[in-house]
Amino acid sequence: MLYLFSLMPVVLAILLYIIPYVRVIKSMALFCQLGLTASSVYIFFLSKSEEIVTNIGDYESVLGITLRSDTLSSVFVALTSFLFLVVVIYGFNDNYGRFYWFFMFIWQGLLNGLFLSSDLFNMFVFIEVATIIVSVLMMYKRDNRSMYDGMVYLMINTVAVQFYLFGIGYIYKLTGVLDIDAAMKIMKQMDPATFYLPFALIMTAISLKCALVPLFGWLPKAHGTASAPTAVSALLSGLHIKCAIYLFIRFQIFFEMIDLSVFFIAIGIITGFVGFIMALSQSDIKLILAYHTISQIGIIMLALNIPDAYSRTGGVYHIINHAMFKSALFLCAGIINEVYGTRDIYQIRGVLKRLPLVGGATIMAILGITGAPLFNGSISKYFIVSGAGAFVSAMIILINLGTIISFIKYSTILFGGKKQSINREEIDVFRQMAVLILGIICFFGGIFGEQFIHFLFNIDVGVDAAGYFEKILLFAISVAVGYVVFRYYVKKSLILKKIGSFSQNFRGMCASLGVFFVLVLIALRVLL
Amino acid sequence: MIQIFLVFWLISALLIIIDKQLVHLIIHLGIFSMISSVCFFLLAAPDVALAEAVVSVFTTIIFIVCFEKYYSLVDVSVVKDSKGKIWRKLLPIGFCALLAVMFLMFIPDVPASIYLKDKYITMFAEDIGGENAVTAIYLGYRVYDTLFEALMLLVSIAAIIHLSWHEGKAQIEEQGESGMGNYRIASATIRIIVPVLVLFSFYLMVNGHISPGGGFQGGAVIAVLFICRYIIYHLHDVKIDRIIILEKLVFVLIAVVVIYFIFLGAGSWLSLPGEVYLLIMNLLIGVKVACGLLVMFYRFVIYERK
Amino acid sequence: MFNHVGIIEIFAVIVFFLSFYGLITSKNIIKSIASIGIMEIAVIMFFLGIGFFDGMKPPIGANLENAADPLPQALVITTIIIGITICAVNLSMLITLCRQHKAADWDVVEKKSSE
Repeated sequence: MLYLFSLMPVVLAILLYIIPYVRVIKSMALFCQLGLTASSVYIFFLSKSEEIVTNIGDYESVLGITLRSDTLSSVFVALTSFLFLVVVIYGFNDNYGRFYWFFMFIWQGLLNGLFLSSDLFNMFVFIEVATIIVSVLMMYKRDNRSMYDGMVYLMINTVAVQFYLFGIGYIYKLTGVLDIDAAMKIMKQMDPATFYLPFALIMTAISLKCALVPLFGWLPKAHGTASAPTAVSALLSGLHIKCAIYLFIRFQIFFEMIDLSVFFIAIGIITGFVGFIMALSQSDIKLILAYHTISQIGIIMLALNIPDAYSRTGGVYHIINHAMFKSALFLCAGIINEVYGTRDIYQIRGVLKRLPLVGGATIMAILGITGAPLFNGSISKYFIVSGAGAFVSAMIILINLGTIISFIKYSTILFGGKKQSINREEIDVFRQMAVLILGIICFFGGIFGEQFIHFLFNIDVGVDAAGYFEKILLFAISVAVGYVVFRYYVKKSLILKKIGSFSQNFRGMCASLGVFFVLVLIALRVLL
Repeated sequence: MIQIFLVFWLISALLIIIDKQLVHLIIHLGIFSMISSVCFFLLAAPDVALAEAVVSVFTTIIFIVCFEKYYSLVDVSVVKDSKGKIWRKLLPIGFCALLAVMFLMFIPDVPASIYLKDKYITMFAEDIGGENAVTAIYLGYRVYDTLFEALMLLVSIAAIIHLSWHEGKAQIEEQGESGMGNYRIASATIRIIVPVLVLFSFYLMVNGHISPGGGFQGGAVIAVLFICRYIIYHLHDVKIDRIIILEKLVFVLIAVVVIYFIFLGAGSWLSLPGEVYLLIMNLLIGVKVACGLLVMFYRFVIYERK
Repeated sequence: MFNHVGIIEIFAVIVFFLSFYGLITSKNIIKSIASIGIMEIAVIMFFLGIGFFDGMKPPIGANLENAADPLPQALVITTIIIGITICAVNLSMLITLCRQHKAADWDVVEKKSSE
């Protein structure tokens, strides 16, 4: 019955489109989303004990399409449902019109379908449809900037997906099947060198979708576009980018005999650095958050490629944590933008006084993303570092330092401002609720981190008290260093301003796609 | 035979890429699609050839509308060819040549696997029915894909409507010109063509399971029929809103049929032969595709043209 | 060197990178959209060429000896529909962009939209 997870939201979306009453649409959306979340949690419990397999149409397994739900994919499905629930709560009193809900629910169905599918071509279909939906939602208000951004997003992703399609064409040619599990069995008996080309093609496409270093040009445009509905930006950064990472994990297992982890660790480190340096040089709060997504993707990519079970688990846990705090930050930024009427970081002051609850949620999310002790980011980073070598750990600490500097800059919006002019603002209850839920989860994800990981992945590891104390010390030192650097360097730096104005155009993105493809091929020749 | 057409194919692709005159793009695209269609036919894929041929008609028309808009809005004289240095032109050529050479170097020299092909060819008649293996896969084994591909059409129509929403409904007004209705040859030709096209599209839909063709191709032919009619007479008597609702309902109907026949397994309450299922699906998909393409076309022509 | 690599595959690769050349050089958005279309057809050609040799028959009819592989053909029909919808959405976005900026040039549009 797994196909219901992708079909139910779609049918619901069409029903919501046909119903003419806005009130009914919203209540129905909330109600159905609650139901979907509950059922996704149920399916998680089921698939934790045993993998659920649905052969559509009861044909022989390789002939038809097979849906599989193991622990990883059911975690992602539960994450999807939960984040959409938060977003539905957040937008409960918005009036975006019926198209908004129509697209949102179809988007959810597609993501669920992608996570549950185990057929290569089926994944392609889901990716393509989701790309169109995202680009339309991005330009929902149809103004100048978002139109261009949405178009670049759609076109560059279409080009990348052609590489993916070429790759699965080769997989089909060589193995004769399209089902992932069946293909893996056949691939084990063949020479790994024959699969270099499909590996390079598929990984190039997925790396573009993950926004790794030469290929990140579309991400700030897409995630940071000014006029996109806030909920859409939050879901893009929190969830949609994760489906690329999910594909990366799947294909890493799929191509297990081609081990290119050194290459991806290097790319991950560069991505982490480039992400926070670009973020430091921005002054638009939405763009800052968008570039931080790139930086965090670098860390996740690093973690997933370290050959150690703890690090990989930490990486997956960091994906969930990132979904939580980045959506919280984006949703808060949306509220702040609406109240202040600007996105300039130098003009917004005194959020904590004017919007206390939103400010509180922002602080919790910031503590999460910078890896402060007791918050969820610290647990996942602890796990990642525990399996990494000395050099990689040092790099992670440096990237984290950069993140801290950047968020010290970001947190200047919380304080200050003239005392008289600041009044508390009344905002929508549903919005505050949504933001607070995410903020509190950031906190609980840290305190109950061990139990949570045990619950999700059945991996038991005690957080060593001495090691954790060391981490707290490290965090304190990082904050101190970060503050000094921010105070005396970042504020005045001209170089950063120059870096900040850099942006890739469409031709440049296509060219870097080609460069990345060549790089992967060369790495395959040299490293293996 | 196929080699000759492949060379033509390459040349027509080259023409699209290197021709500086933008207007020629439409003609080159048409030639390119036609040659691709012939190549597909020679590659023993008549279904695909038919689909590509019908689709290329549609693509060409929306490209024409787009060009019309482009030349009426954009001051073309401002955009001039930049005088770059010679290496600026050679660099991309060299880069793409490098990519192609590296690609060819890595091509695995292994014969194609026929593991799944044999299974499909021996089993489809028994599992699904009909005599067309492609339709059997498209509507049987991989119907889950087809469902979401139909959703793609629905979503993109919603996208197009949303993107040109600000034009509003008030924009539909009679255009000054009356099309080519005054030309006797054109209207006489269309009168002859229409019944043939109607017959052809129904033939494609009804016989989809035993001969090349199917719901998509048949539906697209119906859409092309309406497009011809519009080009000749410039009639605005089509109610777009109703078509949009119809399309959504047909999609739900398709989903219901698929869930009933395929997802619930062959042993659902009353067992019909596979041919009936294929026939129903072909007709439904035909209606859906025809509605979808028509909405797209009318949106482009009526709303975007002004 | 290429014992098992057909001529169709090589042509598909060449056209694929030809359209890639179009993507990295074309100044006009319409041409980029057309290049994406060509890229798609190149991939389709590759799919149909999988396991093809001269004298194959379509996989239709009662006698299916020496028939072509039906699976790529079914996949390719899906790909064609996805391709046309993406092309249509791209073009409708382009028209809206044209209306806003009075230009369809990548550089001009980028400059105008970042103002």
